[in-house]
Amino acid sequence: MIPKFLAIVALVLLSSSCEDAVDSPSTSGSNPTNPATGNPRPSGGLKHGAFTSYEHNLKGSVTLHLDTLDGAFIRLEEFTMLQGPDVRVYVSKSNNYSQANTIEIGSLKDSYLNENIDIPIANYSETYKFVLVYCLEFHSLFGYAELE
Amino acid sequence: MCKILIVVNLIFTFGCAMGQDRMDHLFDLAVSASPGQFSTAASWVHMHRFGKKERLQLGYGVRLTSFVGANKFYTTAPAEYTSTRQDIATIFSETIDSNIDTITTATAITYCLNATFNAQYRIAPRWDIGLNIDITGVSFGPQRQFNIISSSFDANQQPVESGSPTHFNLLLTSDNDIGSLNSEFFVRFWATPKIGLRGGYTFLFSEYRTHQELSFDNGRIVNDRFRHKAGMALVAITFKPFN
Repeated sequence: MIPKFLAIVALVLLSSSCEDAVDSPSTSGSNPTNPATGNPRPSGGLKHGAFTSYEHNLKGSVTLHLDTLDGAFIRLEEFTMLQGPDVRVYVSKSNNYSQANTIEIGSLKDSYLNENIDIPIANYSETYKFVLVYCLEFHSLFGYAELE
Repeated sequence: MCKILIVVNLIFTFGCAMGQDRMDHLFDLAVSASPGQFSTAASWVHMHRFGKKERLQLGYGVRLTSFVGANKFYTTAPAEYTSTRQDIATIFSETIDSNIDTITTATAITYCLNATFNAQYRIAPRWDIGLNIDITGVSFGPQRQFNIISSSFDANQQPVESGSPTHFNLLLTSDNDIGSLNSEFFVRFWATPKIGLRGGYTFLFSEYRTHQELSFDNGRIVNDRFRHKAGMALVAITFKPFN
């Protein structure tokens, strides 16, 4: 009886520690510096944000998957939008577009559901806390999400 | 400004005293265009002829101008931010690039109804050269949504803001100007005594005012007036029905 109880307790403890390892951002230690930019390397983990829409009936959310070793990518989730010309995805330091404050990470064409879009980790830092969906041809912000 | 108006008034009074036959009524339809932008203007002008040979003509009038621009940038308008000087020498002062912020809209549409000052000179039989410029009036047009494009846009503001044409227009000098103002530099050929054809250059200010003031550079610049400067090729037809 006691060994069975201990086994159940051990299973419960193990499963909860696994969830922590997946969902919680790493907080241990200081982040090393990116030698290319001098910016602190982002810490690993997940960040999430819901889109605020301005144009093209944009809806959905975005998750940032960050791994300090393998790189980073964002994933658009439950994302819908009326198609537009030359629609790009940026990570940005602010909720508006400017060349100086953004890194382009991809473009949206026919299909954009369940796509992973890689972020060039060499230039990325945690100051880029917004994801913009932006029509470059007409300089129109379709929507943005703040990553938290 | 008052001195200028007094001088203009004296000139017109003198012109009128010389006799009613030394004036013309001109009606004009103009179209101006350059890539991504388009303007039309309808005007009435009352011109007075001066000098023994009546080559110089000065006058005043009213002009209704429409402007349509596709995907055009509107930049910070007030001279207090854009120029190192805010007096009459603004036109010769340097632009402060670091203070210029940009907003943009897919389709800008502004209408302005302004009083004009007009001048022209008869350079040869049937040929005039001239210029005209809006002085003051009103603007109107549909509300538009503007995207803010600026690396110094302060946090906690919406990145898309609505705006409408600045309602009051006033010619001062260069960036001191307020609102939407039109000006033309032209050559005219009188095909018949009553019909003239004009060609030249249009320089037009189209100005919007955002419904909320926008803050930039940690509050150093707070502004709601943004201007587009349009240079366009001009063609027009002039009617002189009463002469």
